[in-house]
Amino acid sequence: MTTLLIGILLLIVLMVIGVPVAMAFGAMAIFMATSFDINSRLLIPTAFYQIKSVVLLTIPFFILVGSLMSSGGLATRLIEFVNSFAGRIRGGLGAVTVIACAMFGSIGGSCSSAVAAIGTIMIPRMEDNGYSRGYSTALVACSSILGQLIPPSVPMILFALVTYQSIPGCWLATIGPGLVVITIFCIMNFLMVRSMSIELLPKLGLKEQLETVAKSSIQASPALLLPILILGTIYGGIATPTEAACVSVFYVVPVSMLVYKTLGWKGLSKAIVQGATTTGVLIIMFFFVMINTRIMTVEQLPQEMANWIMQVSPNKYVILLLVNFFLLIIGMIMDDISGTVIAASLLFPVMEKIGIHPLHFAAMMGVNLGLGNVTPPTAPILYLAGRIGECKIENYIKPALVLMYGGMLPVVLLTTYWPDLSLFLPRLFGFAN
Amino acid sequence: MSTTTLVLQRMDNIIDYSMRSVIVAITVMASCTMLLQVVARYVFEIAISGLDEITGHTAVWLYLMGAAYGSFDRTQIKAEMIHLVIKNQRILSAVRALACAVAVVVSGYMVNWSYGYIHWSLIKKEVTPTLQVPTVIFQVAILIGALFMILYFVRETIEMLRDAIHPQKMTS
Repeated sequence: MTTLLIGILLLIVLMVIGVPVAMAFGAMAIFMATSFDINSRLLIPTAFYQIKSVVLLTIPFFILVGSLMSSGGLATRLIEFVNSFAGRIRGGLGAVTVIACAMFGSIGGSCSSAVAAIGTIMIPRMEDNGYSRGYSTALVACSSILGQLIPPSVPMILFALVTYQSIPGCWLATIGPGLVVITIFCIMNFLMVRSMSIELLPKLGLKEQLETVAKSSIQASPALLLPILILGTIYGGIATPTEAACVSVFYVVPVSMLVYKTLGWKGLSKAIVQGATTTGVLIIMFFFVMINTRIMTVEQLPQEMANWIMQVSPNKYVILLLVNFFLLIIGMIMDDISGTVIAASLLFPVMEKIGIHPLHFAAMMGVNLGLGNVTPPTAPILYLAGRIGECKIENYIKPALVLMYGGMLPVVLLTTYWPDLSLFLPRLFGFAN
Repeated sequence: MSTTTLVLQRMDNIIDYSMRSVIVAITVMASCTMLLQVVARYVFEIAISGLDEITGHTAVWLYLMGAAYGSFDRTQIKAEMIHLVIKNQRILSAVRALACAVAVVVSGYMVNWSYGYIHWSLIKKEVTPTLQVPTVIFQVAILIGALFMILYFVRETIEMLRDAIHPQKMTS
């Protein structure tokens, strides 16, 4: 147990001084293997067999789709589509941002890609319409959390692989909390923009409004079909997540190149290299995490850790509160994907021991790490939004805190202490009892 | 610009271009084989034996080349917080050099471990279950990826050390 704690401490120290996260996990693996005198011949094959899994290919395919979506102009069409419904009412553009982040999440699969794709378009547009730049940046940052709650979510794929759960099951578990976040953020947006002098587009007659909606729907239809294609084929039992991800790549490429004509061969090649780099960096981290997990399993460390936590407090609700706190800290330090991998490998045995359903834990992790990602002082996603929105932290921290603690924190507690919120859909589709 | 710098820069460009080409080729190959499998299964209702196996194994090259490229263009995920505490540029660069040196050591271990694995695989003549392809073809990706990572982390370490010694010539 002491070795594990030193290993975790080493991991945190190395990450803090700027060692790449994957290499920090590698250093932890070296330390643990040396301390427990475990031969590398036992460790490398385990990691190799994990990364050659076809299921893992889901990640590069979805990352590539997200990358192509950003460069292929599909994000713009999605925004225009939502805007045709809600853009002409007071605070409508804010609601468009929230819903667009959720819709992009149903394709892109992570917080950072949602911030980059939606923030680039929406922050300047909101500012032009009278929203403060700080508020717009804060709303994009907080709404981007939906990228990891609305399926297909890349962090949830990694969670499923580390904990040996079903990927579609994990995706379903985060939909309930995701819908609650959308609702709360939309309501908060309408309340928060009351004092802003927002310019509204002239109201249209019913006929003109319907024409606008029809036009934007037609333009966005290739983009709107994508989530249906991905989720419909998976939950309809037609394709596996990997196959659906692959098919979506072959769908997005011709749509971007031939229909929208926003992507050329050079752009495609750039998106492929960018997607592969993002994937490679993630998988190398996963590689070392699997080595660490193997060492921990051989030495029965998760069981020891679970016993130790149970000694601190045998009360399930107190443990859940501690776990929430731990996840929040992890989310503050790391991005959504790295945080998911480390938290899943460390905490999953504890959750099993106290009788928490794995899919309930998946949802808890999704919302907690999401909140952690936008919580200062580290807040990687909050700062990314600030960079994209070209906005200083002092200008957007206040609305961001209101959205975080007024909107997101209640969802964290609701997800933690009301399992049905996350387990309802998995039960409905037969992924949970 | 000196001849040595020119040669190094040209080599750098060649490696960059080669890695990007390999990445694009593997991505296209993995995507096409997976699509072929989907079409074969759902349209023609036949299962092509071993296609899954070759796709999964080929992807190892994609991941490792992607990771190495991430070290080259410095997009490795970092959770650095030291810059919030240390404001002195010289000390900050020295700490970053130390962080890069740690990455070099870890990559070095990765080379050692993967070399041992490849050696074992060659002795045992390990092959894939269905197509009987030698697995060493895919395992060697870990070794090559780790070697590239060492190269790029060493370069970053030198640049950071240079920044620590001459803070006015900041490169990042």
